[in-house]
Amino acid sequence: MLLAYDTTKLKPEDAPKTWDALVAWIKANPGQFIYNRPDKGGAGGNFVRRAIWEVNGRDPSKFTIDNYKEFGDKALPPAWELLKSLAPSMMDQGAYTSGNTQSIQLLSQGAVTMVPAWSDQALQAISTGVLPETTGLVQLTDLALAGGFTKIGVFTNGVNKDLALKLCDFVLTEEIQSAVITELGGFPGVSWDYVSKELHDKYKDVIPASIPVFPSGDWEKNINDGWYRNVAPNVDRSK
Amino acid sequence: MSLSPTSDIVGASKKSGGLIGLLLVAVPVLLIGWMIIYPIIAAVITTLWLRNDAGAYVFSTQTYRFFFTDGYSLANLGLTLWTTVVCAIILLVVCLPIALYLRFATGRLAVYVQGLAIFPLFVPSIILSYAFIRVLGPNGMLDILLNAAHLPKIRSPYLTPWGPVIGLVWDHIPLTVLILMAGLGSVSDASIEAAKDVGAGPVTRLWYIILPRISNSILVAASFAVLGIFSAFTLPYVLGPAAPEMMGPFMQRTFRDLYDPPNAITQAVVSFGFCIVFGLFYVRSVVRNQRAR
Repeated sequence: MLLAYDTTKLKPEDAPKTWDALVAWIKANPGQFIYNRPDKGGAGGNFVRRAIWEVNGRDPSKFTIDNYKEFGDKALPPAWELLKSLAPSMMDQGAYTSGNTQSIQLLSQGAVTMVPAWSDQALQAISTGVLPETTGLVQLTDLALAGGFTKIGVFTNGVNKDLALKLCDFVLTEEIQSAVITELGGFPGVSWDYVSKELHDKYKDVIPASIPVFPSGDWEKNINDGWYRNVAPNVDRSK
Repeated sequence: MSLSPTSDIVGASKKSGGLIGLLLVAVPVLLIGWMIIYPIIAAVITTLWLRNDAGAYVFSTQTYRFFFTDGYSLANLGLTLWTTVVCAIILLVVCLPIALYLRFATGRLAVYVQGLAIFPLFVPSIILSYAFIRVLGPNGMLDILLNAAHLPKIRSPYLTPWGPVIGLVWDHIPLTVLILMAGLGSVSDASIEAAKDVGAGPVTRLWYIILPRISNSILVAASFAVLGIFSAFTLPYVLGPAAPEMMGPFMQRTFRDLYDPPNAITQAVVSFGFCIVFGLFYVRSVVRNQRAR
């Protein structure tokens, strides 16, 4: 998950690289940012989760799959306040798209300057011309926007277990892991020692030191419902 | 339609003709029973018999009480009703002139108009939704045209309650036009000519000759539009605001994103309750129509 922006309106050197800088930029440029509803796509979902981390000491380790019951009532309300304070600066004073794709479409139409987007979707959109060449990508460096790892499972009693392990070996080769970075804008599944230093230096703006992951469990439905009940309504969009 | 002429030809008795008729309708009736009536009953039962903490199923109106006391749910229901009423009115206002034109016009232009009016039938709503963003969205085609004419940009209806209204009206034009045209087929040229001969103007002809004959069709068209719009999903999902949301996206979200089937089914039963009222309108008008024949 990263931020995609229009470099013709925002110079790469001015692109926000921390949460505070992002919030300051959003408020200074009302109407130029939009994120999708958190349940309708990972881009908006992880933007909301990054806000939740921000108001809870920027510490992902505080959130575990089974601690919603003890921690939820304390963790979420300040995040809703933070997101509500951003609402008047969103496109149309509090509009939220219903999917990753619509946000990218609005960016491509020049209706907004910046949207949160999946790295692979943004890179693909640039390579197919859906987004112009002038699209910039940036990741927050104080704490990255949440992502998710792709998992491959192999059955111990699988009929073709050896072949499956061979496939896993192939996926972990330098060639494929480099392609994950260059083609998907993803985070490698192996240590940086196993991919070339050039790649690391080239993509250091978009690829953070580590990818934090937000737990699902009870958090997921309560974040989704909480956002719809607290952040989405009560916005004055008549202006 | 009566089966008696067939039985006359094959010389079978009236009784077995009735049996064949019953067999012919058995398949759709069974399908309706299995795929529509049974799920309705099952849905009502699942929302009224809830599992308590001890694991036993007890009668409870809890999910309904929650729905009708929850401001958020009621706002969603309110938006759905508003959208439905506004769409139905706009549809009739837009489609009646088109249907009247197509009924009485002749020539090449009428063929093109008819093609254009039926065209939305062949456009999937997901494609329509994204096309809508391209055309009426911010910096969309309309804004580009306005800009070329040195006019200010529009306030885009995208992600406001008017987004789904515009999309749904466009999507429902073909069905409404077709139903109204079918109704206009029963208005004979002779009666129009007769009214013309005694000096009736266009408004008088519309009001006293045409409208009374197609009032049934208007009711059917309105019922169909209402039923389709009340339960609409894709267009409100893509084009509507995050909150309040229409019942279709609300149900899907409650079911899929909140993992809450009892409340999702309750929302479905409430929506069904509203739709059945319009369904009854439709059934009544069909029955009245058949009696008239």
